[in-house]
Amino acid sequence: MRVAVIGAGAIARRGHLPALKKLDGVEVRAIVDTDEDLAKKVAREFNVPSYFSRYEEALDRESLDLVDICTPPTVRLPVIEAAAEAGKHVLVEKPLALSVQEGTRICEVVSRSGVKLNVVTNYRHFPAVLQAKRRISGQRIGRIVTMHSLGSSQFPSEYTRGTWQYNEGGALFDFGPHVVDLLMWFARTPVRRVAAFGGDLTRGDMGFLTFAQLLIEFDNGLVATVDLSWVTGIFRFTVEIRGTGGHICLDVRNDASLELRCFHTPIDDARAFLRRVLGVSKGVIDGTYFSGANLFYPVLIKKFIDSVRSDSRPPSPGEQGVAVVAVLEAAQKSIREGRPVFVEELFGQHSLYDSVRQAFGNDQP
Amino acid sequence: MTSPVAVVRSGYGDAHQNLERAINLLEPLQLASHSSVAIKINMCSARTAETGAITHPLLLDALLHYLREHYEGLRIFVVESDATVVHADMFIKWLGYLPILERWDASWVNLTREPIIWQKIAGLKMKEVPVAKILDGAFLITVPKLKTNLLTGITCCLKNQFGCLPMIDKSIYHPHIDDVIVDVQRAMRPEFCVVDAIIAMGGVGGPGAGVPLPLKTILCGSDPVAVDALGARLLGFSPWLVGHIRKAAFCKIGSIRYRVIGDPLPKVNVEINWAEMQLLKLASSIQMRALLRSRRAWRKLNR
Repeated sequence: MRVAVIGAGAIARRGHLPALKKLDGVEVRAIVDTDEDLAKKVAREFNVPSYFSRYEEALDRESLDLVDICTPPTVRLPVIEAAAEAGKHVLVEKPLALSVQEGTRICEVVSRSGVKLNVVTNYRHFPAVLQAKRRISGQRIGRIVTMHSLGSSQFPSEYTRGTWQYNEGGALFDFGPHVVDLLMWFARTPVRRVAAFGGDLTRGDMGFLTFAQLLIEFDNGLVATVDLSWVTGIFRFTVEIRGTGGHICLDVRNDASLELRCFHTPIDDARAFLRRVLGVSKGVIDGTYFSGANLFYPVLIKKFIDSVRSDSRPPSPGEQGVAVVAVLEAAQKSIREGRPVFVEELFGQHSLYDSVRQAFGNDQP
Repeated sequence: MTSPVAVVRSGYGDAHQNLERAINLLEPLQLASHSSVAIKINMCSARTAETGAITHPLLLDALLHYLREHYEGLRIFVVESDATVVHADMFIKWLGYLPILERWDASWVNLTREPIIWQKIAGLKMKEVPVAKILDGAFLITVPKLKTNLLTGITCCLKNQFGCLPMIDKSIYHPHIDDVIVDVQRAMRPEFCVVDAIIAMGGVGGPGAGVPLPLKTILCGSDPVAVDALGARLLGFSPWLVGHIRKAAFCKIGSIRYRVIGDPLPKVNVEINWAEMQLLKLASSIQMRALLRSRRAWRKLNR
């Protein structure tokens, strides 16, 4: 599998390139970045034979099977279009797009070109998250009634020089895609409407959301809350899934979970605390703890490559990416207009609406 | 002597076909001498069916469908009684049974509100058992949920019949629960058993708050002891170590030896932490004794 990585920023260097280098049968042929010096430096660092400052050059001159797009979402659409039209499969960072309109256009191009597209959903691969998914599918907590999630991340300037996040959506589109993706993946049912509140809590004039609270109503009556912020100075990603047969409390970043039934006792807490301390200590000792979700790029990319080779459905196809973007855009619109927004409004009469609705499955109550 | 127990793999969607298949594996139901059928469900708490805590309404639907299809003119009652934590008249509405009863022209009967007769027995603990008049002469089918139970190890057909006792405060029998369960069978032994193990319940939190176990299985038989013995095995218990099953076998309520006919048995991790179960059992027995002592003291005070 011959790959070109487009965008040589932090996520390419920390996540995608180390993962691609680890995989058997994968050859990184080129790196592209508008900053040619950076492209050259990263190509040297990862022992990649060629580098370019324009993606068109890479697509013309290199013989490629897959294009791994790590550019900001603001400049992603033309890259995906060019890659798909050149017959290359596409792996794309989250969020797939910043609007439903862009997302559906991406899906159309990909479908027309007959290539496969997969959106990065690396938080799905934490063992505790996979275990929660298995438990939900195995009906261990009955039918999900509510979910409560917290995606509190640091201000982006603390970990990236990128500036794409500082658009109107702010915190919503930065960490929101990971949180909403997990909720929809667990719920396996389409979202009906979103009511959101949010704004900028700093006293300056940032002009984008630094915090947002979402209330998401799914088609089967399930309700989820999402609390996103950049301004609480803490990195925490938790999801509490409350079912008729039990609760699962997930601490995603620390890869820990607690399953509760009947009474929540100190014994449950002590047991969960011990498990978490042991898990984190093990991660610190072997160094994996500090990689966080970057640790799961190899498995994520491998699964996508396997789906390309076997011509099967990618693990997180474009329609799922659009479904997530639709929730985020509905939240953004809800904050702007001060009313709950039906997801359907964003699609109008678009023919992709049905397949986006079914993207995560269709669990009936 | 061994008793046959039919095992069929099933979901709720195809429960009707599979239940029919299970019943056909056994001898036909001896309904000719009865004008009415009473179906005892398990409705032990206000928890929805997918939690594995109550008899699933869709299995009841399948059973009623079968009875209406094969027997004409039957009067069918679905019965349950109030208990310390059960408001049967409300639960039957809340948990979605009423439309099913209406569909198959079956009546709902709360045994606590029915006139009773005292039936004399030579029991292990009881000398007479209060039996709702409506059960007198009825063909009794028990439709329990297969679950773990902190008090008795497991709850299935035999324990489900304990719920036929019409009094609300059944917990007074808990200190002698195994004996009382056996005594109840002498007056209200089910003539046929249909066990809902499609989603059973495991773990130490049973019977109300255990782990839902998708065993995807229906068990049927006319010997409640044999059916319970198989149910105990499925949940990881030796039937000989479950007090009420062992005692029921000794009292010749039925045979603890069973013969499986039909589909292969499901294999599932029943998730029981035995140490935790013993600890909780001890705590529950201390709590029960304290409760009974305080009740006695309260009565003495008010005398």
